[in-house]
Amino acid sequence: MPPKFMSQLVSAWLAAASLAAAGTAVAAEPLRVGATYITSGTDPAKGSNGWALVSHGVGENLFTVDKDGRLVPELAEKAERTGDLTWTITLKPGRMFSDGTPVAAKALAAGFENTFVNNKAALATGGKLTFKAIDDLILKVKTEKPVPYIQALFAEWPLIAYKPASDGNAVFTGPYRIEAFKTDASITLEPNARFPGVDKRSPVNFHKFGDAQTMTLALESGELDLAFGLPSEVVSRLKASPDLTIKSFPVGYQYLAFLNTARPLLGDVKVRRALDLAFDRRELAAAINGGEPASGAYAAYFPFAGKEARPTDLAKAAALLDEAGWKKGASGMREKDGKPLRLLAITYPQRPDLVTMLPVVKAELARIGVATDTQVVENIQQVASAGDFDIALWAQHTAPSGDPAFFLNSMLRSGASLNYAKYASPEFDAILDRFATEGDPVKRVTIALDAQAKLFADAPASFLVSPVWYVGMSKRLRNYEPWGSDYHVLRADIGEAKQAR
Amino acid sequence: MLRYCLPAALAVFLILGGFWQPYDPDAVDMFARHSGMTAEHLLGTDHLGRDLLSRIMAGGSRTAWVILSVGFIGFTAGTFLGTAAAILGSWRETTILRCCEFFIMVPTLVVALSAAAIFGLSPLSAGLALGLAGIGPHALLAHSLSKRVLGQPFILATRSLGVSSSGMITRHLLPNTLPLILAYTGNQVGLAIIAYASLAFIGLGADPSKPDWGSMLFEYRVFIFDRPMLMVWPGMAIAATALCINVAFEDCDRVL
Repeated sequence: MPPKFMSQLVSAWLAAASLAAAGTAVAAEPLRVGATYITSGTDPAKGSNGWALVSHGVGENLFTVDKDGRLVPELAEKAERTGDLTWTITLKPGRMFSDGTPVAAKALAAGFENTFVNNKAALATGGKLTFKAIDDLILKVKTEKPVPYIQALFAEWPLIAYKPASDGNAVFTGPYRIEAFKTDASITLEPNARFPGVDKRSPVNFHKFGDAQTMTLALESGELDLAFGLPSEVVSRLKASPDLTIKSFPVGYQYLAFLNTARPLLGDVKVRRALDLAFDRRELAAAINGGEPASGAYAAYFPFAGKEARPTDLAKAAALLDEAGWKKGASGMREKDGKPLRLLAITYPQRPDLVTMLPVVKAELARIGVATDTQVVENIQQVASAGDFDIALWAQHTAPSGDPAFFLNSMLRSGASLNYAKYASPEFDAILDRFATEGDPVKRVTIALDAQAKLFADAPASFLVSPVWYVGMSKRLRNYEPWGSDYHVLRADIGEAKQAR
Repeated sequence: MLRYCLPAALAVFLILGGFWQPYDPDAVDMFARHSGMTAEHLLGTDHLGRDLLSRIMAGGSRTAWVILSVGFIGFTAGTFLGTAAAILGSWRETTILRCCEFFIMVPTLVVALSAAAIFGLSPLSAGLALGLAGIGPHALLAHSLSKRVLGQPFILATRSLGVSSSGMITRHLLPNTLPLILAYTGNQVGLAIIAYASLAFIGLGADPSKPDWGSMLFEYRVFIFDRPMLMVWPGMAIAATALCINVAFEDCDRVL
């Protein structure tokens, strides 16, 4: 063999080996993802961990809402009604937990039972559910209350599917599995080898940023491949960078204000309605550089959303306060019996838009003579549960399962575990009761509209803005398509561009 | 002349800010966002259309309360305790000094952060916390200076001549110690301005809509590249105030 040919052969082999090695390195290098939230733990039954673990791509539901907003099967194949309170769920064959065991009805039943014991939010729609595994793929479910559409119930965020493990942890089915978790800081994810397409997914280092601005700087300096939830103020600057891709997308979240009906000043419905009329939603949307004035409890693209933006009428608001006995004093602020109308408005830093909206809310209420103190609290759920607020600015996905009932049942029904407004209305509860027996989607829209009309009249919550959110990507994730709000941030189809470096 | 004009102008600015601003510092005007420096808005407006000069003035009056609180508490209590310890001597001197050393052991910012978390951050709570934390160093300085003066021959002479204790303190001791203590107070107040701005920047227990200079720095940090003047103005206000206070007090020795 001629020496020249030998040297060409060796060179070609070395080049091929180098390229192969480079390809492996790219695939093995973790994606770096940043957000202003992270799961508070790996216990799927605790608090809102069920939502967060699905958002992180660790867990799945039996049914889910796809990118087009349709309710579709995920781990389940179908659900059939067998009685007023009984259903049969058929699971998809061939699905596996990340530990290599098959997704069996008995294992899922144990997980769901654990959730219903430990998470009150799971009880909102159907009460406590009981489960019985008929065989590996058939699960019998009995609800406490009639549920017209159990597919939507199993798409609710508390009902993540998992298998309780003997060591107290849980095993999931999503495209990623947890490799390491640091509370309130980071979660390291490895591709779940039991989920299809494992070779197309890289490991992920998911970091929580306490401050969206810090996350922005991390993205700009090349420390992140995906920054989820960028502050709107920086978007125009970031779009000028050739190394970054910035995308916006409408979300199912609503920015709303819970008005604490248990507080003395807001116990009067006239005061609450006055506040609702004082909010200028166009101004609030402009302040956060995106979104639309809210038309009700749901984002405009849902069929059960209100048709017109909520009104602003300062004259009517002033008249309501006058009727309630709150007259303007010499300083221009309202008072009754020498006591000023002074409210405490709170919000939380994990949603930077709400922090931006807080001074705008204060200014808008000042226009009708209502004084406001404002506060940003780290643990909003704790403060809101304790009732230490008059107005709580809140971000909430109000139709995570594509159905209007869950939000109303879990956050505004009398005595509901997440009813921070402490709203209690038998008339409103009676409207919600109609959800339990009505399966016709058109009629459920009517019920949702009736419920919203009652909320507008009683004003335990004021719906403010239907926002858009922003995400920023490096070149590696430039094909990432955000959808589903923050319910599906990390997915199997994350859109990673495999490129040699 | 400039040495006196600048602090005087600052004092007028801080006092005026407590009573009057060109606009309501909380008033939002979305049509006037980021206006830049204009005749209507001398320092421009922020991302919500709020007048920046009005917010700086309102923030200045809040800072002025901190300056007064910290200066008054540290100076009066520290001078009293330090001087008393030096004059009383024996176990009473030891007790007072040990108590003052306790104040020094606890970091000032930690005390202020704890107070802000418990009572909420206001000029009063921050001024009290920072002022109380400043008593220890003030007292130790006053004690050291008083001991030195009390050892001077002219003090022995006044005692020999039968001058009363109160007369000795007011006519001979304090005139010799106060100039240095005042200069130290000016220095401490300058540090307190920075500490208060830091507390407001951190935002623990603070009302974010209240226009403190530190909270403005925090709120406007997202515009550091696009609208840097939003951060420059409150930053300059903090620096200028700390500088003017130091300049105003540094020559107390010569003046008094």
